[in-house]
Amino acid sequence: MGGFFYGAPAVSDGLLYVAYRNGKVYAVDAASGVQEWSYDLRSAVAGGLAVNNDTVFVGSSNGKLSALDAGNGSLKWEFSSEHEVWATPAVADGVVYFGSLDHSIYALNASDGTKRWAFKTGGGIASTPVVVDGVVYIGSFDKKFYAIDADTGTQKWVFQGAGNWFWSNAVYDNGTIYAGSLDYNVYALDAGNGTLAWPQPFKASDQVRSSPVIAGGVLVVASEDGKIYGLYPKTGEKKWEFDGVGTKVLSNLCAAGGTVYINSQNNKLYALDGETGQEVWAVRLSK
Amino acid sequence: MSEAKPASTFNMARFVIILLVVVLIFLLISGVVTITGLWNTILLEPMLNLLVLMSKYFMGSFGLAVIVLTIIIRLLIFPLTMRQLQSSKAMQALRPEITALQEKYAKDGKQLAAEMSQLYKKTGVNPLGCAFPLLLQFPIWVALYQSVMQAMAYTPENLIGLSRQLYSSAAIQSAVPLKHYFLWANLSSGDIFMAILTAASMWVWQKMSSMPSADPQQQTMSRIMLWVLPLLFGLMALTFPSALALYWVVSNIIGIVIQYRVTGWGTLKMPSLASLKRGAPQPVANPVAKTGGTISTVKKAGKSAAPQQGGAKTDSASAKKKETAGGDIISQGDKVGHEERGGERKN
Repeated sequence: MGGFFYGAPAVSDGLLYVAYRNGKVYAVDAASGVQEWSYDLRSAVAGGLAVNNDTVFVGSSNGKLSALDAGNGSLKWEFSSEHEVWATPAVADGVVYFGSLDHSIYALNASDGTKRWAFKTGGGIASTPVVVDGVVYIGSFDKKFYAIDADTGTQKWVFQGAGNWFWSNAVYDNGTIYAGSLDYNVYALDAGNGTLAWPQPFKASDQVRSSPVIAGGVLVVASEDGKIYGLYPKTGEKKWEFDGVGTKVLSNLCAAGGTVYINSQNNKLYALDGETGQEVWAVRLSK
Repeated sequence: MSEAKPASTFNMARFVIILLVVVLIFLLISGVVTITGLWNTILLEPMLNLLVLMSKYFMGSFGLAVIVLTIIIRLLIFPLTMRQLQSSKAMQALRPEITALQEKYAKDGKQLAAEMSQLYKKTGVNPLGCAFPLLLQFPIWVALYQSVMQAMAYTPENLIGLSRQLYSSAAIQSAVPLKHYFLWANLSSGDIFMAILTAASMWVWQKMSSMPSADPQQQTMSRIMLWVLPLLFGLMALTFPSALALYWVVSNIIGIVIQYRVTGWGTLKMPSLASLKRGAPQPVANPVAKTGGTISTVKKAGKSAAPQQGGAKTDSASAKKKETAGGDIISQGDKVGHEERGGERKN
């Protein structure tokens, strides 16, 4: 393996899948680290991959969404959009959803790649859709956030109060959608009608490009300048702030068991207590 | 009274410039504006947004937008380019006199400097005249380079960086991300054909604009530069996104056209169709020297460059050149060579 990757790896049935920037997709035994197979997409990859049953889905810069056999890495089908696919796809109920920089979000049958619908927005899409209760939630570069009927592809509502692109993945929790924007704000939207759930959006000190997470009942958000914020999900008020990273945070946050894991640009990995924002540990992974 | 007016206008203009510079320095020192912020606001962002906007209206073609923006910029700096070319042409015309002075006062540097200064004063030629317009163009080229690199946004970091630089206009916002393909080339990555075109066009332009010299050291330097620069740019075109190579190619072609209009083919010898058919030898390296075409060349240089700076004094300088100019000047006099070749074709 070589190069680097943007998107998070995915694990399924004891295999770990990872797509590198150079277009190579690898499957590795999660227990032993032995490579099981690899597939060359022959185009740069800027997102992660999704695994569902026996299929791995990954988008690439040639505008294609490729479906690979999870067992042996052979190509099952490909679907071409009109621009690069940098977003990680999402799979729900036998349908794979993905956004493309051609401004559209697509819904394809996961089994054969046939198109169910496409929804055109006013800008590119680089985030992963959130699919909950038959609704697809996604933000676009047109500064709008959309709720789309997962079955028909029709718009349910649209929020258009942001001042810059929606880049990162949104999070759904208890009927509310939380989405960070490159306008420095974090928005909480009522999943039912798209209205603001907080009196006002939370303003971070820089662009919010990494996806927020819920940990220990707190919404944890990172701004690009390395500040980490713990917010009350109901009100958007700041509960705590962690200023110890001191460098850029570009990758998505990860939460497990009330702990938030943050990867920073100085190659340090931080573990914070989600409830209090206290540093649990920090380790430098490479120089 | 009528003479006093331009003088006061000039002083006023100078006063305004000085005032602007003082205000700018004050703002920079006080930290109200930073050099980066100023650069972005004045040059980079307008150029970048124009590029993105043009891409939208040229059928989404970033390649066409790069070509048109390059042409626009070349048109805007056309007066500077002309001044630079005319200055170098005038300098070239003075070369025999400079060489003569250098030989005459080889052992007296002080006197040489005084004589040279007097020569420049007499002919109205500014030895820095070639360099100054080039320096003024430099920031524009750098901004264009940065705009192209940022607009391509071929990685997520680049694209997010682009979001910080774009104006909020819906037309601009909806144009990104830009499509990367133009003709055969993926403009976001290096392309071998674009690299070859870059190197070839740069070689032609270099060859046309290179100044022949009697100084062997300078000749060697010119020969090296003639190959090194095109090769260097060719390699860069192979490494950088080929959108940049496209801008170099277009810019070089425009440079070739302007150079041809001002100085002709220069030291680039174009074999005539007839001579190729006959298998005749190529035109000699310095045809004018053999034909005595020096005078007409110097006349051209004197007419086109010197009057702008030195007015009537130039005529005497030109007249002097008629008497003293040697073969060296002439190689600059590609026009004459070109006319000759034209005659050859007729035959």
